[in-house]
Amino acid sequence: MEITKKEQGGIIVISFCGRLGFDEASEAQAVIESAISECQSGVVVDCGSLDYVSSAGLRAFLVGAKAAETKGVSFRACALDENVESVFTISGFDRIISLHATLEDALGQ
Amino acid sequence: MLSLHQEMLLLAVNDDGDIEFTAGTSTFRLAFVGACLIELALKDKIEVDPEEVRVISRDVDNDATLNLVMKRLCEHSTPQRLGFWLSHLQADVQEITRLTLMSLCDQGILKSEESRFLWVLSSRKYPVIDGTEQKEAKLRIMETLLGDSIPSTEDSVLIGLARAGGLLEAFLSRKEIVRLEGRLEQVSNLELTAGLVELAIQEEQEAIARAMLVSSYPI
Repeated sequence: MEITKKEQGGIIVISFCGRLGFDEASEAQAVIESAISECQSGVVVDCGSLDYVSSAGLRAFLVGAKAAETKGVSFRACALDENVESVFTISGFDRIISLHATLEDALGQ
Repeated sequence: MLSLHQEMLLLAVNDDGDIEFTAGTSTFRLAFVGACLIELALKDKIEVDPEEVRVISRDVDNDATLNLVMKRLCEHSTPQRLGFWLSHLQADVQEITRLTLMSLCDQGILKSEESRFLWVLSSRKYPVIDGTEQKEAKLRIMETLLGDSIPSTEDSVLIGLARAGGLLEAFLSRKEIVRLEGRLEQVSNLELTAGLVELAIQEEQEAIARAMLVSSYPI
């Protein structure tokens, strides 16, 4: 999985590209945690190029949501494809993470 | 720290050491086997998605219950869906329960006592020894339900399993459960394996309801 990170107006945007399974989960979690500790107002995870997420990979998002809650910043995900969105819904993550159709929506533009 | 299947069974033990009536229901059995699978997922021994369950590591330390479940998972050469395993493992549910009760006895949390029902039929009771672990599990559930923060995966899943297995009624009134329904919905099963277990239980309940409807109104 490829991970990129950029800052946009106080919000850090992380883009995941490829699969987020057991083998990629630790790296994804570390990137999310460091982005939350560095950000000023929030983190957006762009899932536009993420085509698979498993139980192990998904845990990185819960860790992110909890860390963001503790710091008092926003934590959002955007551009989920149908399969990834279905995994978020089954796991109830749509109840604790704000999901947006596009990156622009997530950034509030 | 206790594993999920241990905590779930511990919540089903009442003050007299009997396993609550709900533990005999098909819903509880599905949730209980689900607890074993979720525990394996949380320990990174299996990886789960909506299509299949894959074994990552067969080494489950000294947990006899998880060893049995892992043995079954490894008996199939091709990966199967979670729903398949929930059904398939029902054949082992008595043994899974016995092994989990034994592990709680070995850890000094329950004791095993022979008792008589109607002075003739022998049965076994599992009274708690000092109740610390049971109280702690209930307290964690209550703290999460009465708070407003995102729970840990473990607490979220325990709440979902207790809810699915009908165990919340053992320490919450019907009125309280109704009052907390929104929070229960929000914090239960924040984990993919647990979400899939919940879906499988809903499907089972719908199938039972359909079967009852058909038997009530035969064509």
